[in-house]
Formats: sequence, C-alpha cells, structure tokens
Amino acid sequence: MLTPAAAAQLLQSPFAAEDLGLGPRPHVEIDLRDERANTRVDTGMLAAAIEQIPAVVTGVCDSSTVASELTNACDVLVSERHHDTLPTVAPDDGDAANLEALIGSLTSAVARAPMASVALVQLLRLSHEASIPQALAAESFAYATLQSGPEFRRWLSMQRQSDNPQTPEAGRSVVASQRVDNRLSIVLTDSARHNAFGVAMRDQLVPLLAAAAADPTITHVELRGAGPSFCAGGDLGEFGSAPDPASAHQIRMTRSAASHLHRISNKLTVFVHGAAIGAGVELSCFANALVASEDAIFRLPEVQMGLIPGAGGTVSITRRIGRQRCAWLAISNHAFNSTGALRWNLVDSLATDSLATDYPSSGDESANVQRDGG
Amino acid sequence: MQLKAGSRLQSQVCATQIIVVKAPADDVDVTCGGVSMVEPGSEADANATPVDGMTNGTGMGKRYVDADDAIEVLCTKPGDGTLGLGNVALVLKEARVLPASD
Repeated sequence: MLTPAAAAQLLQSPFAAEDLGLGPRPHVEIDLRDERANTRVDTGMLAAAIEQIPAVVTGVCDSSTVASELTNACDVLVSERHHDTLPTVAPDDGDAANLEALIGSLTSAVARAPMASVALVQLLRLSHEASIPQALAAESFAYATLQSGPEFRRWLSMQRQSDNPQTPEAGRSVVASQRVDNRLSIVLTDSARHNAFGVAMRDQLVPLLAAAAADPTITHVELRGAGPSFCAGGDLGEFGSAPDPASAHQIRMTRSAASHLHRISNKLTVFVHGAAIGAGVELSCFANALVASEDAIFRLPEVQMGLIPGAGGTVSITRRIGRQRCAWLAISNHAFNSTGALRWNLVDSLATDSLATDYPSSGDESANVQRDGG
Repeated sequence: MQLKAGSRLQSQVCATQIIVVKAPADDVDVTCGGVSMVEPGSEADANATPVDGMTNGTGMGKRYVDADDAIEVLCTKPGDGTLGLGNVALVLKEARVLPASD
C-alpha cells in the first residue's frame, strides 16, 4: 500500500503506464486514511495521474476520509468498516476476514484477469457520467475489444472441456407474456436452464419490450423468471459463437435488451429470485423498481472470464451503486446476497414471499396468456 | 380510415390491439378477423363475428405488413383474429436472424 506521496511518485514517473500496465498485477493501493498525508502531494495532479494509469487504483479509506478529488479518482474504495458517506467496500461485503484480506483478494482477482480488469475500470472512468445510450455503446466497444483477447480465449478453451447445457432448439418458447388491461407481465420460462440469456431469449424478449415502449396504454411492465432462478446469465454454450467482434458489436447495438429495457425503465418492475448472474443482474438493474427475494444471489462473472459485463451492467449497475462498487463487484466475481444488495441499493426492496414463479399458470383464457414461439 | 404513425386500433371480434408504425397515405380499412378495427374505447359491434379463415391470431410484439409494404402495424395486445387490409390478410414481418453476440 502506498502513501499519497509514494503513489504520486510512482504514477507520475515517465514510464508509469508501461511499468504498471504490463506488469503481472496492474493494481495500486493508495492509503487515504491520513488526511495530513494528502497535504504533502498535489492532489489534482495525482487524480489526473490515476485517470491515465492502465491499472486498477484502489483507495483505502477509514471514517476520517472525506470525499475529495482523490477518492473520486479511485476505481475502487475500501474501508475496514462501512463508511457513512463514501461508497466503500467493507470486508463483510466481500465475506473477507479483514481489510487486508479484502485487498488481497482484489489484487489476486486483478492478477487473474489483468486485461479485463483494467479495461473495465477504464470504461467506467469514461462512461459513468455519460448518457445511457452513450454508455451502452462504450460498453459494447470495450466488450468487443476483449472478445478477441487472450484471457477470454483461455476461458473458452477451459469451457470446451467441460459439459455445457445444450442451447434450446430453434423456435422453442423461452419467454411468455400476458397483457391484462394496462399491465404487461413477462416471464422467462426456460426454467430447466435457469433462464440462461441466449439468442432465443433475446429474440423473444426484445419484441415484447418494444411493444411495451410503443404503447402508452401499457403503464406497468413486470418481468419475472420461472423456476429456481430469475436468470443465471448468458448462455455458456453460446459464448465464443459470435461471428467476429465487429459483427457482435453491431448485433449488440441493434437488438439490445438493455436499451429496450432502458426505454421502459420508468414503468418496469423486475422481481428477482435465486440466481441473478451476469445478464440476469445487469438487465434487472435497468428497472425503476427492483424487488429481490431473500434467496437472491447477484454475481458478475464476466471479468474473470476475460470479458466485462456486456448486457448493459456497466451502465445499469453503476447508476444504482456507483462505479466504484460496480468495479469491485465485477472484478471480484463475488456472490452478493440480498442483504448486501439492499444495503447498497443494488435492489430497491426485499420481498417477504417467495418470488418463484410457476409457469404455465392455471389457464385463464380471458387473461390472454401467450407463449411466444421463435 | 386515415391512419398516422402512432394510431391505435382495436379488434371488434377479439382482444387484439395494434399500433400503426407506418401509415399509408390513403384511407384504408384495417381489419381483424375480417371485421374493421375501431379506435380504442369506441363502441364495438356486439353482433360482429370473425370471418372464416381470418382467425389465425396475432402475437404480442409481432410486426405485420401488407404485400406492397404500404402499412406496418405492431401488435400490443394479442388475440385470435387475423389482421388484414380489407379482406386481404397482412403477413408477419419476420425479424432478421441474428447470431449470438457473445
């Protein structure tokens, strides 16, 4: 861990980018617990140096640390105890024994996926205050960059040796919808596969969201998952199947569940239970109201796969919990429970009842249930 | 009826509701189940019944067009009738097949 003065010397050295960015662990920890230490450096210059460095910069805080241009510049903030005003991560947020263990696990996580970790924080530095459409485009650029990178290739080669659940056959219904008066209820119905978010689900969900956006008389949209989980993330069997990174970017920007959800966010309620992993948490965070059951688990595995969250999560999650906690969640791959999620306002409320949805429900013909084929 | 983009119509013989995405310049008779569609909230003809062969149903979020591509509508509430221009059925506009982006 570096004092601000030592960090300034390191980050402002002529070859700081090469020395840190090409090293095995592009992670810098700066001790921000002694306000007097800040007076010995030009904090404006140090903040500017942090912004440029191709490494993850973690600021270590305590209750005496106040918001400053230095705390704003850091990619992650940590503290021994929950901080009243700063968006720090405390050891118990990460199930770590103490602050040292929390920092150590973050350093290890960066070292396992250095390119993806650094790309993520660079993306968040530039996108966290951008408009949502701009931030979604930036996310897709960064995702495309990593899609052809060595860390994702290594993850893919390990995947191919393990058994992946089969993707659903073409045309199988994996989304159901029900329009009653001014309310549209959407249920992800691929319960046996924990509602893996693949091509079929994308293609069946997007038209429903587009219709909900087009019709002003649809004033409430509800999204749920059938079976044990809301959505366990992207379809692992489809990873690596995009034609090429440029085409994949074009597809993400033209048929995007994230941007369609953003368009209806003010009338959208999402109910999350069980696993909300990757796309499952990313998409649900666009909702104006996000309700979680007590058993809900949130996790962002993409960085440890050599990627970044690519279903809009760097945009939607950042706008709920801030870019610094979002960076920590994504780099650490930590499984966050519903209590932590509520404490951070990742979710808006906890449901007292189970949110597990049975589908199909009892047939109510007047209710106009429809299963959407491909 | 003269339509414009954003016009909403509902079926007289089933639950179908649509929004006009692309409106033709001329007056047209948009039908569902073979019976003229009406503006939402207007009195439906209680005696109207669907025409034989015009009951293939509509799908939520599906786009429908005519052969000349003069009109495009989006279904915002599904039902049992077939959409048409007069007695000619509209056809489903299939989405482009896109591969995975991961």
